[in-house]
Amino acid sequence: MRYPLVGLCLVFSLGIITLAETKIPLFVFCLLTFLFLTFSIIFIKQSTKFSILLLGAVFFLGATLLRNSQILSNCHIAKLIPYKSDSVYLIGVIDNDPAYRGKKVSFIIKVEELKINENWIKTSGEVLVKVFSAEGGSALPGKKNDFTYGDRLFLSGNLYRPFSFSKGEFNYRNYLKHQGIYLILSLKKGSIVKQLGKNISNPIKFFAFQMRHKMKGVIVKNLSPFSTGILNAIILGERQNLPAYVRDILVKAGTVHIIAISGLHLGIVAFIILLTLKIIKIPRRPRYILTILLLIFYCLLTGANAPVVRSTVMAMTLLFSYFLKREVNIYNSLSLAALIILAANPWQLFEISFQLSFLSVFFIVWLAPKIKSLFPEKLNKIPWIGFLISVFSVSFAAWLGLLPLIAYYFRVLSPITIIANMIIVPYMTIIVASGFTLALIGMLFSPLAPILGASCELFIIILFKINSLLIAIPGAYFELPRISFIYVLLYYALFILFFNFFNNLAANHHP
Amino acid sequence: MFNLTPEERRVILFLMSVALLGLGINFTSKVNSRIKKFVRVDNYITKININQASLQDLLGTQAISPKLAKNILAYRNRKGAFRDIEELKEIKGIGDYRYEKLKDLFVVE
Repeated sequence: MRYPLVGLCLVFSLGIITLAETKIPLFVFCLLTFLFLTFSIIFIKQSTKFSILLLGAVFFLGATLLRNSQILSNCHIAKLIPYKSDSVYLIGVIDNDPAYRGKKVSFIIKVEELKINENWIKTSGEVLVKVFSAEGGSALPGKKNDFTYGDRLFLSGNLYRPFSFSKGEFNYRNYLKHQGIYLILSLKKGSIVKQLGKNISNPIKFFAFQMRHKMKGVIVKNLSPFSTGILNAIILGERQNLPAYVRDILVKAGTVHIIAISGLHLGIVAFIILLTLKIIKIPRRPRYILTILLLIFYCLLTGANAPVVRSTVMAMTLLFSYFLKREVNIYNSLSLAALIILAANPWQLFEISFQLSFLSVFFIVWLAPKIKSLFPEKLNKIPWIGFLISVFSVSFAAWLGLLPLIAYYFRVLSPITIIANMIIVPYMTIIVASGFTLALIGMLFSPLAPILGASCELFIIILFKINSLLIAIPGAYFELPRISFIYVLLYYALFILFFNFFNNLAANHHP
Repeated sequence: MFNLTPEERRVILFLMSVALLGLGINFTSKVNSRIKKFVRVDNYITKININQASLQDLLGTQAISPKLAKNILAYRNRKGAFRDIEELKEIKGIGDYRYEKLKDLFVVE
């Protein structure tokens, strides 16, 4: 097999999926993994036996990992307060970059101590804190409470389990559970918030968040609130201030992926970094190492969610292969990224962003060259037409690959997506590059920022107008009724069968 | 099936063994963790000494409005100092309900 990591990743995912809902105890999975692992060590020299035993071990390791993540420690806050509580007191440290939306603030707090029945208990776990009026307890009237990553806080408020409301196939309680959050602390007027100092566990993360705030400051200062919401989503991954109607338009046009930091963004960022380092005459090897480090920093800066981690791991493997002057295999690097993300959190497999991110890359890499080869070679060689064929092949491949999932999750079928992405994806290069230039130049030399800001504003308005115009075309998108997941699986099965048949046919014609 | 070199096989087996061992340790520590009650939390962490609190300290919590903070400070200046936390009830704007919410926030020292 040319792609060993693909096989391991698929079997690992299969272990997570098939055993997610079973009630089999963890030690059974541990034992099975141990047995398969032991036998693969014994048969290490026999290729076929070793491969089968290894696949078995990987399958059960996936299941073990998932089951272990379902088990909470006895000191976990969700075990101490299982459903809902009246006012509780707790001490903890902010573990992410607080998100401000109007007067509301939300952040994740790592709980250290909890007061129950007049006793303080050492506890663990994470809680989503929602402060409903950040101005309520501010030190100066009219100014907001300033929460930052690493703040140690003493809080009192009401703890409750997240509501299990659903929008389409999205379930809020499950979404939070997949991130290890089982409780929400609501801080309304009259709740106690006291800052007890700082406890920064990760200084690089702290520095990344500070940089993020500075970049955001430049964007907010130089763009209108409308464009700020869009550019913050595009380059900083901050989507809470993105107007709902903009998101709706992007979903209908099938270009919503532009507000999720992905390979497209990472590619442009890596290109900017490599070019800058080349201009300042950094030698080749240190240049690649520095780029890798800066990409990791950018990943942290944007909150390190699945698509950005996937893109960062893939970019890293690519840069490492250049560094070592070795050929890279894109399927193996994609599988490596999936394995890293799933090992850290197996629940990611059930997240929409994870599925869309990996499937889109897979279909682009696998299908786009096949679509491109359907066009005559003469046309592919003409520069502009060749470029158009490439863009069309990528857009069509991604559309075909994601069509059933988009229909299942968003209940939309958008034929316009193919044309929209042919325009938007190349255009995004301008937006990301100008957005970064604005944020970085704005931090270093602020007098230039308004000029760059004006250009960015224009680019973003054009982006919005293109999307709005495209969905206004009759038949651009259709709203669909709810479809069963069986149809999604059926689609992929038929798709693979069709391409295998097509490949065999082509092979018979050209022996 | 997999065309792995002996080194690659060893690396994969090593990584999986380490992961399995780590999972086992993590699981055991979670199952055997015990609730340690009566963690000592100093008063200065969770409570504000009402006789030394500034306007800033009082407003630093979500529980007190600017007007109520000024009333508390006016009362303290008038009386010299609080002798008992129940004196809070004598301040305009603090009824029984709010007192119950505030009493855990302050200490008289």
